[in-house]
Amino acid sequence: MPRGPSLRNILAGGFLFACLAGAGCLIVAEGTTPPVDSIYFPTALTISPGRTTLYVANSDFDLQFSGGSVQALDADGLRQKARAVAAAVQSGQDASGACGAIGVKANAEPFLNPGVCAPIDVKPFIRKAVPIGAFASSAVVLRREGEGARLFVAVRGDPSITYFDIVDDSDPANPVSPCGDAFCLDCGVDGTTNRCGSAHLVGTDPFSNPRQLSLPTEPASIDGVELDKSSGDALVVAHESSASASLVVNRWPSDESGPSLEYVLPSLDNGPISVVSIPVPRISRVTSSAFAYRAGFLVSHRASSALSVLRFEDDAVSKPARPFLVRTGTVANSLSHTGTDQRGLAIDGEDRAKCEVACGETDLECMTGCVEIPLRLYVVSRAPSSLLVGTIETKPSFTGDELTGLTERISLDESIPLPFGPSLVKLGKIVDADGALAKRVFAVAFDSRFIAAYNPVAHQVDAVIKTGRGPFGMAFDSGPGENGENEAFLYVGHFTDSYLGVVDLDARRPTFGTFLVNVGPPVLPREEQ
Amino acid sequence: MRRPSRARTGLFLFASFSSLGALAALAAPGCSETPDPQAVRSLEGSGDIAYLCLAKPGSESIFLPLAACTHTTADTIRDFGLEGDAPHLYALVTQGTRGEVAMVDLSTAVGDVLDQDPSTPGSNFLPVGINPTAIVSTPRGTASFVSSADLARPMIFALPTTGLRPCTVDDDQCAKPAPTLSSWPACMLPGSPGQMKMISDPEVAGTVRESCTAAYAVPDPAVPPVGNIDLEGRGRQKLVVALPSMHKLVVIDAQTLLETAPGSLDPCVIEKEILLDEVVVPDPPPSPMSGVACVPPPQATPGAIGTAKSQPAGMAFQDGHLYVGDYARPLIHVVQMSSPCDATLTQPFVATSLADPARVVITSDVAVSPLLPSFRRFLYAIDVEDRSVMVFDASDVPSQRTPLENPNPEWNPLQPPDRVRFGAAPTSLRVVQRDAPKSDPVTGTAPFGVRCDPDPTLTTCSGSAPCDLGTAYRTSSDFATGAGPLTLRGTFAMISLSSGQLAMLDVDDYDSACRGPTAHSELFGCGTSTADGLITSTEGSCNVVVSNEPRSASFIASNTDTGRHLPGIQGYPILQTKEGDVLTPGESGPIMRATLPDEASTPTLSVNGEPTVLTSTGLGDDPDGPRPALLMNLEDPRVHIADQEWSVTFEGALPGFSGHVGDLRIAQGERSLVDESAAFCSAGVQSEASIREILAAEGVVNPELAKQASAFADRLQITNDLIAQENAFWESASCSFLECRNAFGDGATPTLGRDMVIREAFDDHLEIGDPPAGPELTKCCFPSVINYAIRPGNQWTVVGAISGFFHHVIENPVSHECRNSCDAGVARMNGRVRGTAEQVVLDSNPAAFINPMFRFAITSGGETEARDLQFHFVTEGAFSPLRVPLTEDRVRPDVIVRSLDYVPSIDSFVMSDGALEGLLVVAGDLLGDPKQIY
Repeated sequence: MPRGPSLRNILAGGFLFACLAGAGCLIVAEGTTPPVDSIYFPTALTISPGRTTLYVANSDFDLQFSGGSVQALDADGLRQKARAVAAAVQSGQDASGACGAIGVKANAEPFLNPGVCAPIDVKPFIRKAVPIGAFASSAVVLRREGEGARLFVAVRGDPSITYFDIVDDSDPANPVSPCGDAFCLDCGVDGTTNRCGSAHLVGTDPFSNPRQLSLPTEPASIDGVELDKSSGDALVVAHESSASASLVVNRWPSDESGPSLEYVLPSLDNGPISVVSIPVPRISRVTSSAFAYRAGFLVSHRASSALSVLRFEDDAVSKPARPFLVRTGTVANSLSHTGTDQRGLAIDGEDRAKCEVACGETDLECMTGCVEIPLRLYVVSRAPSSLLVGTIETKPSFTGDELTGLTERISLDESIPLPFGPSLVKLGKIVDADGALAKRVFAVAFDSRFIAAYNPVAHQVDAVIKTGRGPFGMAFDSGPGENGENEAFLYVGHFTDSYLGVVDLDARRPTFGTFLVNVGPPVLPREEQ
Repeated sequence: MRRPSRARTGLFLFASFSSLGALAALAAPGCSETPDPQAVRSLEGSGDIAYLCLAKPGSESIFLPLAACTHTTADTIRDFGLEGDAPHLYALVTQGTRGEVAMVDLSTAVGDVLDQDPSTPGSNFLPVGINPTAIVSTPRGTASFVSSADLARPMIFALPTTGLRPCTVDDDQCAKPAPTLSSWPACMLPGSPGQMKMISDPEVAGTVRESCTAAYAVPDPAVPPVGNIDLEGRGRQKLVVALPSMHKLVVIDAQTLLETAPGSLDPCVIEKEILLDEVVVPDPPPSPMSGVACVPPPQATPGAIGTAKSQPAGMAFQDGHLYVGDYARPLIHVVQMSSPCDATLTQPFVATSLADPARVVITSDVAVSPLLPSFRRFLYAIDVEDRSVMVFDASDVPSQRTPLENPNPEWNPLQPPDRVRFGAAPTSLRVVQRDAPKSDPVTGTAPFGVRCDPDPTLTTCSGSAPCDLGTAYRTSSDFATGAGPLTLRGTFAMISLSSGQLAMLDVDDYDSACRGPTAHSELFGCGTSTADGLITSTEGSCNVVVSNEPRSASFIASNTDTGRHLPGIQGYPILQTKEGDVLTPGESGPIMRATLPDEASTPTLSVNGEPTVLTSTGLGDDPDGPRPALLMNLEDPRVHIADQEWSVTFEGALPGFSGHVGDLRIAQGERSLVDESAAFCSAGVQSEASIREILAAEGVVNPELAKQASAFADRLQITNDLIAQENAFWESASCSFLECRNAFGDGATPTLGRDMVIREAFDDHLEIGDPPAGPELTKCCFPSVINYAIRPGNQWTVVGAISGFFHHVIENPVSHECRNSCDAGVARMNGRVRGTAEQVVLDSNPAAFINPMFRFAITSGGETEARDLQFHFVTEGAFSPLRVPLTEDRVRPDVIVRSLDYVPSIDSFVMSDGALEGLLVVAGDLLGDPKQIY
């Protein structure tokens, strides 16, 4: 059982942040080894494509240990518990009876840690865990058919992009495992330090990349997109304190090279805090190399109302290619008076993707039609607390009858008030009253302990979930359940009290919007204990 | 009890000046900072609002019409006047985050939030279920109804007004428990509700029907404990509820719901369903615009209405018609609803966009005006994605079903012709009617709706003598009273903006005739009118007040009383070189002169706030000699969007390409530059092919045509610095650094070797001519992607520091080249000037330049001008739209209005605010600070 984090140490963490922002600081992984069998200031949550594994990045925010950790949790095991509680409540059992189904009592602290039941222990669900640097901030999974899957974690403490080879469970019946197990977190662990190998800490070795770059401090957010194999996949990292964005290009084992830091784009607006990739239109992947489209990323800023539009240049015309980023524009925000503190970003490209999947391999006309389906952009803003809803329209360019390129017009259109202090937005699904999966946009309000679910069809927030203290990371687990019917759960990482919660997202059940299971147990910060 | 103070300390509109005092205090030595007491906020997620006017508890008649609650301000929530006859106005406000309804007493000085259970810590409101979306009250306040969009249990709750006020107001409630969710009559809806309206099934000869299928009968005089709405005497009230997920509206009887057993989960009794499934056959597209040397803009296709199912959004009811916005289809549904029982869908309005015809326009809030004296009725709808407001003709016989278009779009091409933009997103709409009537000196009556009359032959009102009352509303000589921007008499559309402001459209301003020049002229946008000697506000345009256009915050005039608001220039234009040396224009170099409507005219230009009559050659008549000049456009003052610096630069670079990188493809015979993010057409690039068509249309023929086309075509200019001389690149390059520098110069002193004529332009790429230094050397010197600029050939570019570069180049919708648009509405969107040798240039001359703000010509000096030679001037008198700031830096840095109402009885706007999560109350005259309730 780890000691609870102290507020004093949290403040110390703040000093360390300041230290990191300056030059000459060195982070040495000394001190107590971080516990990998408990949740400790969780920040990033992400679920594997096949819903078998929930990855949790713990930040060690109070610096009690020598680093944080990444854990691979058995998502199916968590679902079993959640299903049991939901079914028991639906069958009419009271909380005590329902919680008995998972071997715990009813929740005795419903105000501090909302939920039906008392917390369960996380240890039985942790299948793999690895220590990493402190202050993990964000994570993303990339996969490529025939290559595998990787988990990239932005870590402030190193600072690095620490990556793991993980199980590609896109086809859960035939998972591709780099380690032979059902759960993998391969990062070339050094047997002496029990830490990830240096090759997996992208950005820490300036001599491992052509421009001799080191990752700037404060990697606050990371997102990536699968691109042409020849160019590698592009990952963009927003750096909060240095007003920059860095480019990591991921190459797969068959290229005999791994991910590497390729470029740092300076002089962005102050406080880049979140980044999201713009889904790449399928047609741009199947046309000639002369086709004019560059993969795009949007960056939000804490100190600017506008979003930055970055484009990935593969630099294929140069030998050797030295990929880089270009800031091609900004997205003005006229939806508020101040609007200078934008936080999370999300883009919904599902409708377009569905359209594209239905097109034949060479059916350019079909794919051209699909790009005219706009993408929806969501931004959470803290000034004022609101969800900004925008549009990304993609316009084909022609020379005569020949499609020669795509241009994107991005706008912010609508502002939806949110509870105070939103920090993150993600796309998820609920099971609606008809049993179908329905889109929702979930915005976490860290300060006021709410998660608002915005219905993009009805243009209104139609569910508000009260959480425990410091909700931060979210991961969505929706799809066919055991009986073939749809099911949907939301995993919430509670930063302040270091535990996870599993929320029921099935609107047919009385437990909709409530925490079915809390996984931890919750640990108060040390000064509160 | 006290009467409210109507005296104001200053215009709230200019309240920011008051902060100067605060700053001064802070800067002064010895000031100590006293922390502001922080009020505890009780409201959370305030949304929709309903109003009740209630008499003192225990009064014989508790329920009153809203008109009975006037300005009277109570000291406390229990203060109902000495006689106990001063009712209170209450706002019932949905609390989205908590699933409650808060009751706010608007009649107290500060606006009190009523705690329903003072014995429980915190503020306790009326629980009504998850996610309340709408609330309505009956006309006299017998009950209120709240819709709850609980995904699992969508409900409507009825809140009987009896017992709604807590123990702190109504002693009778002290012995009763605080209300719970099961305290209310309720019923379950078949789907999640959206907006809701209360509409009457009218009584017939004093009888009502209890349901749509029942017979008419005299209302039962019995009053059940929950109240009898029928006894309000306004017919049988029905709830019209939007069910977006089911694409329909449903009608529910209010009294039946009110009498349902508390805590019921029974399904609501649906009396009528209106499925919003109109089959709309779109109008055939109009004939394509035509012209020479231009392309028609893209047109709407019949399929643009789309196949999505309706998602009813905002609703407005007027004169027996319910108007419903739609989040999915480009329609404003119109439901004929003389009675909800007989509701029928009629032909909807179609939300189109002339600027983007293929877009499916979706709408959120809607509002409708009453029938105006002109027998017109206007419908307003928010275009969500364009962040604008459309106006429809909703008269009894509408002139068209699509958004109304500006009759003179060429005057203000900066606004789309069929909607109004505000620079921020509209969030709510309401139509407001108000007046401040003056008394007739003879009869003593103060009739509403009297129009100001500028006719000089009328008898003005003075003393007690008979007069024409319309003269009493004229602008006073010191501009302090009478017709003016802040005198709000008539009908106006109020729009809340995401920027935390209220904006206003004039709909029917009673004073509009008195706002304008004394003598009419075509230059002032007066059309063919030649009226003279009018007694008006002496403003500089006939279009100061225009129906459905933004209202001005100031007089369009420049004088010591109003300030400088007449469009003009701060000083005569100056001519200077690229290095900044000021030249004397006209001696040997070029000179800028105003173009003239005809040879006899000597128009006036406001220079530094003073009216200045120009010479017969269009120059400024200055004691030091003729000065460069221009003429401001005054037809529509709204086009002057900012006081700004203008530069007129010979071969000046087009703005918008700074920082862009392009792929210069000049190997193996290819001649192109590709930059898919450049939007070359949208940036106004004019290729050789395009200018050739324009010149041919002007009558120029070969060989002069080919020569001029090449001369005037835009150039692609490489702006990169060369790779540093010490870079290892040069060791293996097939060219040398010196070779490249000789051919291209450096970034600061580029040679013309960097220029390539643009033969043809597309939105994402350019086809270019041969590089002057040859393709091999050019590619060797610039081996990777390039930075670049676009410059016109032998023309001047006109660029405003704020407005940028105007043009009307669009992408040919068929062949995709960049060409001028045939749309006459954008004919003034020009940014290029060709020099002329003429000394008097009429407006009709091809060399005459006109853009939305001004017009001029440049008489060349006889020699080719140096690149980047520049005229400079600064315009002033920009149009300032009336905006009421709701934000205040320290207290309310942001405001997101979720619901906007105008309450006539207290002449106030009441808003719920998503940022503050409470209410804001703004006086109807827009003066004074908003009252903030949270």
